[in-house]
Amino acid sequence: MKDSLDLVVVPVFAGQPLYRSYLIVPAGERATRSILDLRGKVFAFSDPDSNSGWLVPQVELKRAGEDASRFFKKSFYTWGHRKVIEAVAAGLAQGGSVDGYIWDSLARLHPELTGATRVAWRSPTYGFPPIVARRGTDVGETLRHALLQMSHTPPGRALLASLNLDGFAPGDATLFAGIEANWRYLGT
Amino acid sequence: MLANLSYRHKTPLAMSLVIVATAAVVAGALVWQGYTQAHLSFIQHSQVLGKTLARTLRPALLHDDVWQAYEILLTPLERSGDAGRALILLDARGQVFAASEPRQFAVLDNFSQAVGDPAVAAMLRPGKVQAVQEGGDGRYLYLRMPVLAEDGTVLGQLVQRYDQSLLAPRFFDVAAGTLTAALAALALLLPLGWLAGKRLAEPLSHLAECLTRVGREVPDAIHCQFPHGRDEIGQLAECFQGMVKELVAAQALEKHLAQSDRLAAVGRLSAGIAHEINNPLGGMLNAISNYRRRGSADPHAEKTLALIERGLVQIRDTVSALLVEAKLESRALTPDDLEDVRTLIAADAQAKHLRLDWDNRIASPDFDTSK
Repeated sequence: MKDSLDLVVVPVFAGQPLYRSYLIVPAGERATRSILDLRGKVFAFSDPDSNSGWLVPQVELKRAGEDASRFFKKSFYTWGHRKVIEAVAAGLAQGGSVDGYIWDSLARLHPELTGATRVAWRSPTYGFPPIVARRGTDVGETLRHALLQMSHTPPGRALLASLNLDGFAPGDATLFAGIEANWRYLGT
Repeated sequence: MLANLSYRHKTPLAMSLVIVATAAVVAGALVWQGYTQAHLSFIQHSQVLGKTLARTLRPALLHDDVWQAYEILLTPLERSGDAGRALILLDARGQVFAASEPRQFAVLDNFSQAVGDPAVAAMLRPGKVQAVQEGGDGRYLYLRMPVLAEDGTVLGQLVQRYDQSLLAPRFFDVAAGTLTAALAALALLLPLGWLAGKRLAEPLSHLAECLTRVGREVPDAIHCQFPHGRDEIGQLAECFQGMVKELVAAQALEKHLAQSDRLAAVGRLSAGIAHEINNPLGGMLNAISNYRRRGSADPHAEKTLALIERGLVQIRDTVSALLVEAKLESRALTPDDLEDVRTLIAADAQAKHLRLDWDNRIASPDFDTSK
């Protein structure tokens, strides 16, 4: 699929076009240090198409030699990173995997929500989910120019601040090599 | 103390107490009925909610979507004031699939064990009909609604748990409304009851006042008016009036007897005096009669004796009048009476050399001096 898409820009978060996957647990739970501590628990994934919300924990379990389908007592999808945080905060799940950028942004906007959770583990950095365009159109170029200029105008900076982003960077495909490697590892 | 209280106060007080007691009993019954209806309405409302939720939760159970079930369970609880309500979706094995209170009812926990209530556990037996059960400690009310697949298979059960304190505001609403109505009714009925009681006791009090006058006042002075009627008060009043009449009659009789006694005493005294006078008087009259019987021819002496005799007869008649049963019979004037006057003044007239012209032509009455 990536052969039919052009990379337009990559969002810049915390000064880098990178983000992490966070393993979160309820705030009062102090024992968990990794996903392996959640054996037999109820776990919340965000989305089966999400790197941070599904692929990363699956890879971590596989690397540890665990069968993800039997490791947890029960697992479910919330179909949204924020909802993973809500599920863990409410106690519906005892652990969850979530986009680090989402958790950090909500920690600024809704600290009462993220305050009910604790980040137990942070994954290595991965390329921030990019903005892409269908290959062969000039839409991507126009969009790239506009997004790259956002950080140079007051309205653009205000919009970026509301998104908790520093700006956009041109980026390149090597940023996402780690995700691709995870995907390949899980497929083997 | 109550025994010394006048019926003028006791009767209105008793009526007021009866009114208050009646109002309290009626208000209590209305509050209880209102609370029961509110409780029933609450259950019916919850059952409707349960039916709707059960249908909505069916896809979540079918697709094993815990998060979807959780969001659906939270939907009716998003309003404020939903504390004390919990919705729990159980799978076909009775394990918690999702709950609105996940910390209390964790996913895959055995619900019956989590609740620890045999009555609730009995209610959770698989079935296709809904059930309502109050928890053993009475704090919670549980409603069970089966979640059925299209073919009627039981996929799971929706349990609604309500803290019964949620009914307290409804109870207080009903109680406040009823209390307000009861107070309004009391405000109207109490004065009427007091007035009615007072009017009922009024004739009795009046009768009691009249009775207290008996003995302190003369019966003639006791004039009491009572309302006409044949009730107990009317009968008492009639008896009272009869008693007063008899007292008046007795008083009159007593007065008459006293007067008779006085007259009898006077009669006895008069009879004594008359007897004492009549004895010598009879002797003197007998002496005159004896003197005449011996045949004295002296006309002057006869004239004097006649004068004395008439005087004695008059004394006898007057004395007889003193007797109680004697009647004073006046004696008619006779020609002899005038002749007696002529005799008495003749000596004086002769001494003074007066000439007396005498003309006595009075007719003699039909009178027997011997009587």
